[in-house]
Amino acid sequence: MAIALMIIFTQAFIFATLLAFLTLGFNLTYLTARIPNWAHGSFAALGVYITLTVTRVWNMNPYYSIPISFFVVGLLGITVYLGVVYTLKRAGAPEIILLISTLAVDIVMTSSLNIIADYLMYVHKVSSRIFILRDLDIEVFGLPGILVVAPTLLVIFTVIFSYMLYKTKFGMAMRGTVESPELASILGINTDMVNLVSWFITGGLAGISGALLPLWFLSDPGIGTMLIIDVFAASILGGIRSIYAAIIGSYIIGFAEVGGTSLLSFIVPEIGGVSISSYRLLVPLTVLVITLMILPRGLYGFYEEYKERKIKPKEVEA
Amino acid sequence: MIEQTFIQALIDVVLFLSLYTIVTTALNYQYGYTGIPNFGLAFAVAGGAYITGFLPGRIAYLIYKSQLPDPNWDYVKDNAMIFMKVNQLLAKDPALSLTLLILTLVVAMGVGALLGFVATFPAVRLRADFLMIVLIAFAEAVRIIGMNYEPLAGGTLGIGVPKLLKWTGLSKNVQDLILVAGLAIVVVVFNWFMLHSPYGRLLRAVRESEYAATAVGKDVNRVKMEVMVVGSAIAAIAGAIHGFYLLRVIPPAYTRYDWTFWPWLMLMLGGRGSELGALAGTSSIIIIRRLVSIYKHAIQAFIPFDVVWLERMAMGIAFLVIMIFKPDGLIPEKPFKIKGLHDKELSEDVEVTDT
Repeated sequence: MAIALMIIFTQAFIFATLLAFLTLGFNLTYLTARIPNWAHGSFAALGVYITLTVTRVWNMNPYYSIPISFFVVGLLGITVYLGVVYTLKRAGAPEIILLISTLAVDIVMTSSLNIIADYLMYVHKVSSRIFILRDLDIEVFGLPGILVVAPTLLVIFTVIFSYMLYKTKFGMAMRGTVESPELASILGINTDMVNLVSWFITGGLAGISGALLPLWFLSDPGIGTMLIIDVFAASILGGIRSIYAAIIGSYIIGFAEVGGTSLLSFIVPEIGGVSISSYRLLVPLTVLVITLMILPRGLYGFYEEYKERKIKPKEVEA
Repeated sequence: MIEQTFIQALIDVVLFLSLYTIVTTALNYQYGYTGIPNFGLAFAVAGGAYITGFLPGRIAYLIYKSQLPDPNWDYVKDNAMIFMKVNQLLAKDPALSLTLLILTLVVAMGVGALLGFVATFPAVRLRADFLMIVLIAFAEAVRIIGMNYEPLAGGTLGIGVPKLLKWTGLSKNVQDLILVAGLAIVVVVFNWFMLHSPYGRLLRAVRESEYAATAVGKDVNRVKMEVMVVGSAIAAIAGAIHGFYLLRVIPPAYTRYDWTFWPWLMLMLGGRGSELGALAGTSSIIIIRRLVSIYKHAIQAFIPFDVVWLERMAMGIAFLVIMIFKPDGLIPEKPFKIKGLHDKELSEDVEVTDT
C-alpha cells in the first residue's frame, strides 16, 4: 500500500514538474506574442525524439539530450516565430488567423515527428512508437535520476529567469513588452528581439521537458497533442498573465490528473468496465471549464483581486 | 476493370465532397458569416456519428430480439452477428427502415444542436484565444468519452450501423449517393436562402460590428446562440451520414485533424463568407487528397516513412502559405448588393465596402 502510494506520488510529482517547464514557456509566449501556441506540446514531442536518438541511436546517457534539446527546440521556436507568427503579423492577419495558424504548425510538427519516428524505425531499427526509456535512467542517492534532475533544473531556471527579468536591462525590456508592446516600442525597445528571445526560451523549456519525458512516461509522436491540453488547463488555472502562477497551476493539474486518477483506479479499479485512467484527460478539461466559469483570470487573478481589496480600505482612511 | 475503378473513385470523390460540403457550410455559417471561430467543429460531427452508432441499430435489435438465433447476444460484443440477421430483416421492412433513418437524422441534429448550445456559453463570453482553447478541449472531451464508453458507440473499435436503404434494392453506391449528395444539396440550398434573407445580412452585421448591431436593436448574443445551434446541427448531419456511408462508427476517427482542421483549410482556401468559395475550397482539397491517395504507392517505394505524414505536412504548410499570401481565398466574399440601396446613382457617392 505504502509503496503503491509512493509510486503514484513520484509519478505525479515528475509529471507536474515537466508540465511546469511547458506551462512556463506557454505563458511566456502568450504574454509577449499574445497568442496561445497550439504547437507547444509538439515542441516537447521533438525533445522526446531527440532523447530517443541520443540514447538508442548514439547509445549515450539520456541526460546528454537536455542541452541538445534545449538548443534544437529553442531554434525551432525561433523558426516558428519568424516563419509564421512574425510573417503573418506583418501581413496584417487578424487574431483568429494567427490562432489557427499555430494549429497548422502543430499539424506540420506532428507529421514531421511521425516521419522521424518512421525513419528511426525503418532505418535504425529502433522501436519509436509507444516507448518508454525508464531502464536507462541513472540513480542519484538511491532515487531515480529524473526525480532529482527535473526539480533541480526547474529551480535553477526559475532563479536565473527571475534574475534576468528583474535585474537586467533586457528583463526590463521584456516586462515592458508584456505590459504594452506599442508603448515599449515607442520607448525604443526592440520588441521583435524580445519576442525572438522569449520564443527561444519557450522552445528550450519545452525541449527540456520533452527530453526528460520518455524517461518516466510512455511516449509517442502524438504525445504533444495530449500534453497541450494539460498545459492549457495549468496555464488558465494558475493565471495566464503570470509566469510563476504557471508553476502552481502545473503542480495542481499534475497531481489532480496523474495522482488523482491513479489513486482512484487504485481504490476503485473499474467503473463501467473501463479503467478510470482512460478518462484521465477529462480531469484537465473539467478544471479548465470550471476555472473559466468561476475564476476567468485564474488563481493569479484571484490573488491580485485579494491584494487590491487589502489596499482599498487604507486608501479610504487616507 | 480500369473503368470500374475510375467510376468507384469518382463516386468516392462525390461522396466525400458532399460530406465535407455539409461540414464546411456549417463552419462558413458560424465563422464565415457570423464570425464565431468554431475550432471545435469535430464535436458536433462526432455527436451526430455517435447517434448513428447508438440509435438505429439498438432499436432494430430490440424490435427483432425474438427473431435472433440467440436472444442472449450482447449488443456491443456480438454486434457483427446481430447485424447479419438484422440487416436481412430490415431489407424486408421499408417502413421501419425509413422511420429509423429519419429518426436517426432528427435525433443526430438534436444532439448536435444541444452540443452547439452548450458551446454557446463560452462562445458569447470568451475572447477568441480562450474560446479556441475551450472548444478544442470540448471536442477532445467528446472524443474521449466516445472512445472509452463502449455502450455509446463501441469504444475504440467502433460499432456497426444497420443498412437502412437495403429495401430499395439499389446498389450501395447509389444508396449512398442519394442519401449523402441529396442531403448536401438540401444543406447548400438552405444555406443560400438563409444567406440571401434579411437574417443573412443580420449575421454579417454581427460579424462586422457587434456594437453597431446592438445599436440598431439586435440581440447579438441571441444571434450567436442561434448560429452555434443551427451550425452544429448541420455538422451533426454530416457525422450521422458518415456513419451510414461507412456502415460503421469509429469514435477515434473524429479527430481534431480530420473534422476541424480540414474544414478550416477548405474554407480558408476557398474564401470565408462566400458560398462559392466554400464549394471551391472543398472540391479542390478533396480532389487533391484523392489524387494523393491514388499516387501514394508510387512515392512510397522511395522514402523510408509513411506517405500519409508527408501529405499531412504538405497540407499544414499549404494552410500557412494560403494565410500569408492569399488570406481572402480563391473566391473572396463579394459585397452585398441590395436593390434600391446599391442602385447606380447611389453607389457613386456612397461606397459600401464589405471587407
